[in-house]
Amino acid sequence: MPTINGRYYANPAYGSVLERSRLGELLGDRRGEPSQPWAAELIDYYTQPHSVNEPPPSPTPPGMPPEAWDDMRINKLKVRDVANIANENRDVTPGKSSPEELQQAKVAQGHAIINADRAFGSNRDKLASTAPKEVTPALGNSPQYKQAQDAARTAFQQQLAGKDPTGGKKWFNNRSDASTAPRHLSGGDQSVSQQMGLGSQQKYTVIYNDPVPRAKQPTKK
Amino acid sequence: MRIWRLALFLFCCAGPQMCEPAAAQQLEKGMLGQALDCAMHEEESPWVPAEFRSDGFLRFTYLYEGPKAKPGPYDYDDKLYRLYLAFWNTNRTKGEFLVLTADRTGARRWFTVSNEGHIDRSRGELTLDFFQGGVWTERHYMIRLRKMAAAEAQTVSVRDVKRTGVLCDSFLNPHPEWDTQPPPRQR
Repeated sequence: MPTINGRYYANPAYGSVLERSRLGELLGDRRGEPSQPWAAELIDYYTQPHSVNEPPPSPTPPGMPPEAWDDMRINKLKVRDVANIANENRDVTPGKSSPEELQQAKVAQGHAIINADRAFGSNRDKLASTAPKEVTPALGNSPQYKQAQDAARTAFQQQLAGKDPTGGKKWFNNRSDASTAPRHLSGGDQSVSQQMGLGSQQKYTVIYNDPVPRAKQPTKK
Repeated sequence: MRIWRLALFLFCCAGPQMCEPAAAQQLEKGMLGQALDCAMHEEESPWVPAEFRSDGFLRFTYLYEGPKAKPGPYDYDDKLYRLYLAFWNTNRTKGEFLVLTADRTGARRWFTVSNEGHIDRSRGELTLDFFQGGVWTERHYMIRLRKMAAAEAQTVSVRDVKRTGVLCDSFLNPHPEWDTQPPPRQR
């Protein structure tokens, strides 16, 4: 629908006459005719239909309240449950890392929990367990839980947008040194995908690639 | 000596409540033998490193926990049964930590190796470097590990760890589909 002088008109001819009359009252003489050439040009310009093929910008929708994410379901977990990383890494403060790095580590853990939920569903507690999903009222009201809620919401929104900085990883732990050497398991090996700093307890959050079972040695017959 | 150890092991399998100072809950009959079977014969096993069984014996302590009516701050609040096992070297300065989750598929018991860790107290302090989890998980495990480290170890010959037919899964090569579609026979 064309706009004339900022108004929408289904009938451009009618709109042009109406807007010409309005502008003439403002810029013209007593009869509504433009008395100056610039006024005539201005009235001509503003009474032409504009933006026939360009829709006006859509209004910005109001932002979703952050807590609205919490009840959204991933697989077996809700976003609220992912915030149990607060319980997993309670009492951990940035230390030598920046607060942003600590939050980045928590977001990465949120991604790992979400990925494990998608991969294992109800078996996640057996195969990639973390702290309980329930939090105590005291912890639920703590600043660190708020940080974890933010991390869980951020991770979920990033995943909805197709962005996962961990690349689909499901495993994480903390290391007390800066080593990024692979972890040797009895039956396989696991290389480090990402390492992030956590400070006060001299811990590093480490995100791991999926473990690779070691090739079996051929048995003697 | 070996006969005495074998007798002790069989006695424990038959009546584990008699000889498990670190066990928080009683194991069902035969469960310990099945857990050792999984530790030694699971698809990606043996989960006990060779250095801890080089003399042909397993030295281990364990703790068995089920759901708790009132979970503490470092207890799980789910319905799972967990068997914590620590396999030690001869002087008990190092060890391998395993967490097995016990479940049932129909009438058959199903164990999942849920986590794994390296125990070290060679420098006096007891430390655990484990596979999955953060600070809460570390505290949860350390509470159990301290009890197991203080308990008297049981000894069993590796040759006496028999295949029991129990289903064994692990995080290393998981089979979540067993929940709904159990395999006819694992081995």
